[in-house]
Amino acid sequence: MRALLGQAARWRFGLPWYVVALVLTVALDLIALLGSPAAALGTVQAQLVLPFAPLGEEFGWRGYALPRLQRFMGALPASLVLGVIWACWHLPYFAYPSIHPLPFGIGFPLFVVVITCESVLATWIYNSTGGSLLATILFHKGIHLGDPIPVESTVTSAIAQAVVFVVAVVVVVALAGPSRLAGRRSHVLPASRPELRTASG
Amino acid sequence: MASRADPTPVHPPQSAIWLLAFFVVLYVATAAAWLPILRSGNSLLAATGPLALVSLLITVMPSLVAIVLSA
Repeated sequence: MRALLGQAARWRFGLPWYVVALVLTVALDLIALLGSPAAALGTVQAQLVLPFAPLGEEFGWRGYALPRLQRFMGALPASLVLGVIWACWHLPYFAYPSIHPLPFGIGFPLFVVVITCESVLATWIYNSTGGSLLATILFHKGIHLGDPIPVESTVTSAIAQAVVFVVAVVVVVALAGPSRLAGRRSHVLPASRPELRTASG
Repeated sequence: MASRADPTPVHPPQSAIWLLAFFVVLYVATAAAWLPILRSGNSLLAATGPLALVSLLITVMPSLVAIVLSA
């Protein structure tokens, strides 16, 4: 448990990663709105912004599951698997149109795409900051900071959001590499060398 | 974190079991927590009393399960 909780205390990863973690998804949401001005004119939806969500989820998704998944597969496949599981865990929230206003058949597939992309971006941040949960907690907080941006208010803007996030992921994967998903200066062991990783739970 | 000079072998099957356990326990516990909220028919935003606590519990479920399993 100490190893799990200790990941949240890794705070020395440089100011740029703090900015990336907090601002990235908000910026991507705003870019998505540029392609669908009708949504931008709409009413800002009163989304449920749960202050506990980043803390309440990140120890599980990135702190516990991601390192173990990366032992069995590369960083990109691990992120994709975790992204789908992460998205499906949110399925009950689709019972509430005030949170997810689009029809389920359209809204949920697009949600899976976006949250899977966010999973890849979270892995990139996690691996690039030496496994800092603080960085991914901030990233998760950034996701919720973008909740009031009405990208899910129309099908067009939701599709635009998915496209923008996919493009962002393609760029990140191209720059960081699919097996590591880490910046050049990171100290993360290559996922292809699992025998060098720790054996701790 | 192990260094390259001190490689420690991992045990993939055991690690996989714990990983699987995390996902199974998380999904079962989350589903069990959602049932009373969905059955109530009330809006999640309007949840009060015990249901508000349950909705809060759902929010922290992934970290809670991870901490319990790693204890």
